[in-house]
Amino acid sequence: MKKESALGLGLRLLGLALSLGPLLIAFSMHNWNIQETLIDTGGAGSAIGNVQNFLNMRNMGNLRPIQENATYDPATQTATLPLEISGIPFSLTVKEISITFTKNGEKMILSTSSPTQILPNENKIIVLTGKCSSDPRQGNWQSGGGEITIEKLGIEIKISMEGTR
Amino acid sequence: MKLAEINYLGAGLGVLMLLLPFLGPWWIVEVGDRAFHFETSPFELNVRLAEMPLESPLIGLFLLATKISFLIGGTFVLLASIFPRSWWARKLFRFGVMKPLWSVVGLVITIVVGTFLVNNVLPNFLSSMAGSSVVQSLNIPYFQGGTVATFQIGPATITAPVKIFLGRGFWAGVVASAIGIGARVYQKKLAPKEEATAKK
Repeated sequence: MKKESALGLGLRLLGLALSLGPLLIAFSMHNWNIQETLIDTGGAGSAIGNVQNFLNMRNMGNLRPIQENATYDPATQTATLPLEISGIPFSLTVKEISITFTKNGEKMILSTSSPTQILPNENKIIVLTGKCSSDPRQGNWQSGGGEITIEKLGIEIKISMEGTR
Repeated sequence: MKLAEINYLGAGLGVLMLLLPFLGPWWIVEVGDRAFHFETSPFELNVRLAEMPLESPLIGLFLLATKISFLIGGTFVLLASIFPRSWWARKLFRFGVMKPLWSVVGLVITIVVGTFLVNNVLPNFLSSMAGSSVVQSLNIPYFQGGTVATFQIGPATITAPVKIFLGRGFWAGVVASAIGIGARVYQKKLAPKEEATAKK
């Protein structure tokens, strides 16, 4: 009976050591700092920063139309408007941009033809193209808003834009 | 050692317990294309958010202890199954035999509670993180399946595909649990408590 009791006690102590050991070791390795013991703050901070940067893309402050370089071909009735994208600190794919303009009931939609890959902090020009019966560089065109769809790591953000001209 | 006295179910369980920590993750969640990756088992936790690893020293050590516990428990179950009438067999067998079952039960409870929280608490968390948020669709499956989560944050609509699946480690754990229950019953038949006590 003594041997069995001693074995039972030993096994209980083993179970206890395997339960409490990690707790004591983890805290003692991190100077009894609860936050550092629970989570590696360096990795978590970078990860959350990446996510916040991505979510902040919805402001689209890095998108600028270059109106002086807009073109119009009367033969094909095709208008183009370059857009400059800059200052995005990570790579992403611009899947689609579409902007609507109106003038006296006439409507013109300028859009991208294919997805564009943007590298971190890259200045990229994306050209929007659309059909228009008259030269859109003349006259008072009003922006009817637009949409931009970007994609990063399989997550897609579709942003509605207002007041672009 | 007599071959007829060996608890073969128990011996099989012992070997399986020694292998379990190395059979990979039990439950895997993938959001987007590596935007958020989560895989877990009683022995490991691998979380990556926006390709950055998230680690917890405390959880890491607990999972290491579980791994060691399974290796010790598996060895004990194996020995106790080969020598079921030894005075030490009953105690060693009991130390390890139910570990797979409790691990499976523990993980299932964790998945159910975790998924419930993600479906019901995460939307509020994202709201506070991003200013204002309206979750259009967040109905994450509990164990296996896929869905597309959709959030509306101001003028932006965020769409994220979510894939969830159980790994082979989980199914090995379920098999080990079933074998463990059978092995426990068989061990009692091979070496009843009184007999084991009398043999000491």
